[in-house]
Amino acid sequence: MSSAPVVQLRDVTKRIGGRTIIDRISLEVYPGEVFGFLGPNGSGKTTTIRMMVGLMSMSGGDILLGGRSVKSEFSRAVSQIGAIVENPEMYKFLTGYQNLLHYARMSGVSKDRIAEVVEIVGLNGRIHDKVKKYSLGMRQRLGVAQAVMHRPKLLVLDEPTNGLDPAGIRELRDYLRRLAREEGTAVFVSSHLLSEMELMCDRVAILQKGQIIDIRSLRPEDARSSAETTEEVLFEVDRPDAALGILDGLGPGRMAGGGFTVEADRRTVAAINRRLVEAGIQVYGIRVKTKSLEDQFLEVTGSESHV
Amino acid sequence: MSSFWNLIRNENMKIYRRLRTWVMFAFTVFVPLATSLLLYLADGKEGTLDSWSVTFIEGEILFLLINIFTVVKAAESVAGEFSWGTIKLLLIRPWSRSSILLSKYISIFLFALLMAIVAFAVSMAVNIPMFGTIDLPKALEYYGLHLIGLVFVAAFAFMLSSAFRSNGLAIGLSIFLLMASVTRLFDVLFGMTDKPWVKYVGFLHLNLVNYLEGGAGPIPNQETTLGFSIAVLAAYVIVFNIVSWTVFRKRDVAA
Repeated sequence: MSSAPVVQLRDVTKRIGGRTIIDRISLEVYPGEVFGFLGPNGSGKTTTIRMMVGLMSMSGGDILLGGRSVKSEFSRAVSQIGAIVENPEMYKFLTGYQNLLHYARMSGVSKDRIAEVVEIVGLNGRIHDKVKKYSLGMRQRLGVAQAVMHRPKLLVLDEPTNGLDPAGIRELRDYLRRLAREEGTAVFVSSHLLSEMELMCDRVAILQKGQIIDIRSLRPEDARSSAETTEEVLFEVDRPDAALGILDGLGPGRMAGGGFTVEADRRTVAAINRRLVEAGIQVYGIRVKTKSLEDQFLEVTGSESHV
Repeated sequence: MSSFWNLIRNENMKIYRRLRTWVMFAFTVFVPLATSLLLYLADGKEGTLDSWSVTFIEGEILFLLINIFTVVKAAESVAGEFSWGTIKLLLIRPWSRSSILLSKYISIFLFALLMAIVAFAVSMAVNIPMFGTIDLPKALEYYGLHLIGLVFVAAFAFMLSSAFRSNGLAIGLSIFLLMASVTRLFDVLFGMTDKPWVKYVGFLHLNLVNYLEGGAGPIPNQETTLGFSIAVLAAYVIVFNIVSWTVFRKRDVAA
């Protein structure tokens, strides 16, 4: 993450009729990164994305795409993005190919490149059919094709998994990750589906009532960088009650299914293990109980909001 | 960055790749054919009808249709993108909103012009053999006068379409305007007064055909010139366009 950010939001604010919808949001997204934008419905995710792509005006602050301001250099800024905003709406009376041609003409994309993206999204057989005959999954793929056709530095997706079946979601997720890894494309994706985001994103920002309340990494290596960090560790043992009795000094343990859990750092984990083995207690497994994104999300947003 | 012509090609694709557009063209071919044939049969052996009067009758019907078709297409051109949801993908390309609106404008006027040309060609092709020669410059002037009025109606439809993003409302109100003009509703209304400001009411100038053969113009109780009528219509068109442009450029695309 040493390179220059692809997206910079600087104190972005949106007021509609005296109400502040988005309140001084700032964040940065880097090349090759899949960045998740999480928040309950109505928290302002879509509004923020619409401001990023120039569909809505900002009341304050600015958004830079590749260093270009969406406000003052719209064409140059927006030429670097590809987007699927909510459902991929297409001209249903045109064929898939004509739809792509339409957007290709606007960005100066060659016909060879159109053929290439059609291949990538696997629509070769049906590209000359009218879009009205497409299934939702096929429309979604066409949406991806129009979004990546001009090789954008940033791909913006608003609730991309809406209406997709599990296979389609998986396909989209794999494709986005590959794009980020292989082409260094930054991906900015909004969703309220936490489990999805967990699988897809490197970092997430959590938005609530128009404010960012947390930005965190989901990469385990970042979170577990220090040996001093304590985490909740689950020990699977044959006699948990006996095990809890000999823990003294190494921390209060709690009974859990098939064993006990304890808050411990790496060194303590090793010490506990040695003590258990010496006491003749069978240790079947030791693992860190990672908090799911959902737990983390509820932790920061509080219980009043449900997603 | 690709050229502006590409935007017009896109708009043309969205107009001509629809079946309904070809139904409209079928009408502009069918109406003069059917009308001429009917009048020819009704006229019988005596032959009291001449080419010009048949062309005029057909033209009145044709331009009513062409106006309606243009209003439908103009309204759909902007409001359609909103109702289809495609506006979201259209406006996030490296083109200003003004360029996109301009491309829509141009493509709609090309569409109207093309329909007028088809109508004229078919009309001439059937009327000259059936009813004899025609004063071609006069026929062309007649079509030209109608086309000027068409620009006004189309600009009005565009404005409503941009302002309300509603296909139905834009079409409905524009056709109301058109009907009021055709049925001389405004003439009756404003005919009750001879106040000088009446001649600045744009809608009254839609019947430019009144200037043919040295007519006194479309304003009841007042004489005007063709140049004056065109100036009034142009002023209104400019205002309509300023409204369309301002609304379309500033609007937040929310839904």
